[in-house]
Amino acid sequence: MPRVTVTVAGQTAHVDYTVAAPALPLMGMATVYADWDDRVAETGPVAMQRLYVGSSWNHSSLVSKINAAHADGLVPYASMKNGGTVASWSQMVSGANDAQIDALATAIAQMPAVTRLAYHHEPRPATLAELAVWGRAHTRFNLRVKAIAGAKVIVGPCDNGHPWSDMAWAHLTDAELAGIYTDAFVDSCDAVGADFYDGETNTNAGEPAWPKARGFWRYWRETRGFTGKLDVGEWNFIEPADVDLMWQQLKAGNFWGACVFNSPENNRTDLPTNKGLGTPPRWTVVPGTPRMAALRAVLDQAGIPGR
Amino acid sequence: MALTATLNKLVFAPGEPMVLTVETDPGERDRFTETPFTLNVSVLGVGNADVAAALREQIGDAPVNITDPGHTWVQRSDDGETFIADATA
Repeated sequence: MPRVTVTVAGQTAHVDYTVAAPALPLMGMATVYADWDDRVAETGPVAMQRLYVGSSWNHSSLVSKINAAHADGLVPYASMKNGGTVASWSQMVSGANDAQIDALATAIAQMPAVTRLAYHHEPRPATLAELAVWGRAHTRFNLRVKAIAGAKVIVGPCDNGHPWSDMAWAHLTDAELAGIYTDAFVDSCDAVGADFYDGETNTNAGEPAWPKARGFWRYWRETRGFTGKLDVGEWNFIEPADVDLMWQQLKAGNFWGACVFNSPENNRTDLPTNKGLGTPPRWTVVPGTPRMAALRAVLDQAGIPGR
Repeated sequence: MALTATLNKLVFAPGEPMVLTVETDPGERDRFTETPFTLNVSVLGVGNADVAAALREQIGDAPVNITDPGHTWVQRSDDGETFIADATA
């Protein structure tokens, strides 16, 4: 146990203290809702469940899924949209969705555990001007939800991850990001999140998730001085070695949580065919492959109950 | 000497501010120098004699030394009785 010793004029006093180990990121998963149990049977238990109810605001479906996650001892990482269009952001800013927000916040306030909630995740493609409107819409969403649900909710965006890429074509400057993430927007957030994807194909080396996650936490922790929660709504990998590299970034950036994308959805037609992604190649992590072994090895380090 | 050392908490999260308070009783840290001198006293008709004396001057407070291999403590304030220092867990 660390001890601070004080000596004054030949007299000595001391006091012992403890510095707690840093909390490990909550490691969760994103997959097709109906496939959840099958995927967990393959990966082993996780701590967080990504939940999404499509572009329309399906209140009952979302609340039902959040309640089910709580009942399973999972932290729900939920998001919804009010139409899924750029135009819908202006509607949100105008207050057209206030009643829906309040109803959702009221339901969350009555739940037994905390819910992570994001409005309209992955808002791109959109212009910087349009994204500034998204920021204002999210700010309104955050403030209304917090006013009702308080500590029962963790609010903040789940952005696309490529603006924090090392690749010049995808990277946004600090000034461009500041135009979206105004101080008012950031001040309304308990958390800031993003999704990080590996763009590797048979003809393009792409970039793994972890460099984007690194750029993300450096921007938020070092450039913006953000001390709230950082998290990852979805991240994927192709090379097994990239799983541990992502884990290292999650710890280095003191991320609060991250959900691995382990789903057959959103597959590209040009996914690599020689990387253990199955035939035809899919994002789903196939049992018995080096990719699954790498994923399980990291999940085993995350302090997840039941592992 | 009544010397006490206390921390604002006993369990800290990484990066959390730590505050150390060291307290002593009033005057206990006061430090003086004494400069000896001789005073020659002469009494008319009687004689004279040398008297030894010393000039006692307060020069400040005894320093507070902190040992903590895991952290760097930076003094915030010290009024001679209460010494406060900060570190980051």
